[in-house]
Amino acid sequence: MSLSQKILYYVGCTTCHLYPETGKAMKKILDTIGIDVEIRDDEPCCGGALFIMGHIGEGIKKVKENIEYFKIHKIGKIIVNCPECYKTLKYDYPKVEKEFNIQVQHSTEIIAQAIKEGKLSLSKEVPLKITYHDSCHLGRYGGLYDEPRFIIKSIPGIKYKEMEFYKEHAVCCGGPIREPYIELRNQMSLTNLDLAKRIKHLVTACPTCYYNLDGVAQLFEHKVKVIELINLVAYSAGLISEIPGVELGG
Amino acid sequence: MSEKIFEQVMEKLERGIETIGDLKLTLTIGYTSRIMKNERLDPLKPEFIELKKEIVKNLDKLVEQAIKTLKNHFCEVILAKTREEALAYILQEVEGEELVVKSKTNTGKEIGLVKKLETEGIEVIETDIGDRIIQISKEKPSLPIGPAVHLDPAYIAEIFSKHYKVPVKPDPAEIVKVGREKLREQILAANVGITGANVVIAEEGSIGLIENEGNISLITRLPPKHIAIAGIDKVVPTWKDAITILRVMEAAFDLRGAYCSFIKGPSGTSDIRGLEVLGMHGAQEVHVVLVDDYRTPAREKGFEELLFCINCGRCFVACPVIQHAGIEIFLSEVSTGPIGLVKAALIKGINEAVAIGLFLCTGCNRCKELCPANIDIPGMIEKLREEAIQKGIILPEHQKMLESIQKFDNPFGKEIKKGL
Repeated sequence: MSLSQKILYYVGCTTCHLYPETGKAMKKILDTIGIDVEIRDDEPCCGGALFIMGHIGEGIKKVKENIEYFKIHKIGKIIVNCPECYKTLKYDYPKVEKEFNIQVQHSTEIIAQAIKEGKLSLSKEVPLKITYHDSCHLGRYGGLYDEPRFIIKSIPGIKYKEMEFYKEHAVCCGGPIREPYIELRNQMSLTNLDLAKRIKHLVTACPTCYYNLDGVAQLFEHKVKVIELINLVAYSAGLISEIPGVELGG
Repeated sequence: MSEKIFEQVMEKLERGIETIGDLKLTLTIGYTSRIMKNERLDPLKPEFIELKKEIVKNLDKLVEQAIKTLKNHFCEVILAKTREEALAYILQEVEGEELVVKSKTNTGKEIGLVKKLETEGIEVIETDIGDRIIQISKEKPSLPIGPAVHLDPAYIAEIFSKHYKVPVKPDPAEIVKVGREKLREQILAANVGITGANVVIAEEGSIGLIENEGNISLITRLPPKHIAIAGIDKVVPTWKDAITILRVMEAAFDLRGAYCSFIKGPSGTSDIRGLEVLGMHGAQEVHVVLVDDYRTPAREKGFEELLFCINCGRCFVACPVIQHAGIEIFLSEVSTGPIGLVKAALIKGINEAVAIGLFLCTGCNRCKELCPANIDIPGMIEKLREEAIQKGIILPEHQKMLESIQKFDNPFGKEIKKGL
């Protein structure tokens, strides 16, 4: 990455549209760490959903357009918090354009590294029993299993426990496409919630998993609370005053 | 037309979710825990994957070599380009027979063997107890290597009792005892035994079969004629390679393969004056039917990894769609499970693949992760979806999402605020 190039915080469609507060919390975390990022209000869709649906030709077209977009805007590095964007940008883009060499990093990589380097201090206690749901795109596709666990365990007060199936064996929440098979999504998310029942708090580092798991938890009035990892981190770093969806009491 | 297929898929899904009941827990927790927490497979994986790559690269030569060496060992060998050719050969070999006993053969299933023989008026008896239960009950099979594991013992006892007209207690040992006695009679009465082959060793001119029941041992020895059916992908270069594959097969399901048979042609003796007589205790004739069918087209299509499949069924166990919507998902007459979906597309066509759930896969990649060969099943499913779309088979919801990305640059079907 040359000096004239910029780091893009690529927020992703789901976070922009459904969870802008999570995006803002991520921005605060980046500010705290001292990473200067650009956020663009003409950010394109990564095209990941196109590949999943089988619109491979359309996906390739989209990838080529986006690579051009990154070039025009002098992007030298991309930070994402959406695992689907992460997988698509990091692994599918170089398949389409061999010379695509922009570094792509997931928020969990950035945060874990910052904790290790002492650039982000997580000091506020979170006295909760917590487990972690591996996103398919972040885990099985992206290989990022350890970073989110390291982050969660760095937060004081947390009692961490794994679910019955985790890492490579984690159960999909129902995935990013969902429609028209909503009932299948419901059942798959329910299995995850049931597996987390004794632990009560299920953390995810994926806005799609959050959407599915939290939506289904509310729909079925499930007692498990779903937490977005970024919010957990931002809270412990003192950047936000409460964790959405969780009452810490006291 | 695609509307009707999608309606059927939705019905199948809704019915599956509604009726899965207790089976869901067995599939999600029971089997998955058992196979996932088995640590025998991982150390074997790298060598196995390298071997499979080598085999597929040199397949034509290996098949040629295997045919030659098997023939040297008095086997009759045919290389069937298509399933029709394979069926025609087998039909000719069983002509005049009323009864054929068989063991599990995925290639036999793929070519529609049982149905074909039955339409020709030949009774076909499955000798694997799980397959026999499915055959008698006419239930849908579940796990490829344990097709009846989802059925209640009381129910199995009831259907056995009805079928064999003897009282059967709902106890696994009792069920197995009745099955054994009845199957033995039929194995002794049959003149032809049909099996698959887990490996065909090119250098040695030998086929290898692994099992835990002993039915394969019996039907390859007792009837005078043994017909083995194998996809060309089952050919391996050497003995050592055969052992690698058989060990992976055992480890894949954490099983103990009680018996392993290597068959190098018919049984025989030269004890009388040194004159060779074929057929002593074992079969007098051994026929090996090597089936190509979808395999060469798969290689040409960029689906060569399909030929890495050893039918272990781990992708079936891994699949959360099957776990939540039941065993009919991805099940066709020719195969089952996620890899079976891909095979069905190649064997029966893209419409069949859509009908059994091509668009139900969430792309979670768990099947690839658990596959001994890490076959990229989700990647193949994406390509098959593309093929379906090109034929005009598209879900309206997916069409909408496509248009939304094209028009609004996001999947939500409307303008959204980007950035923060």
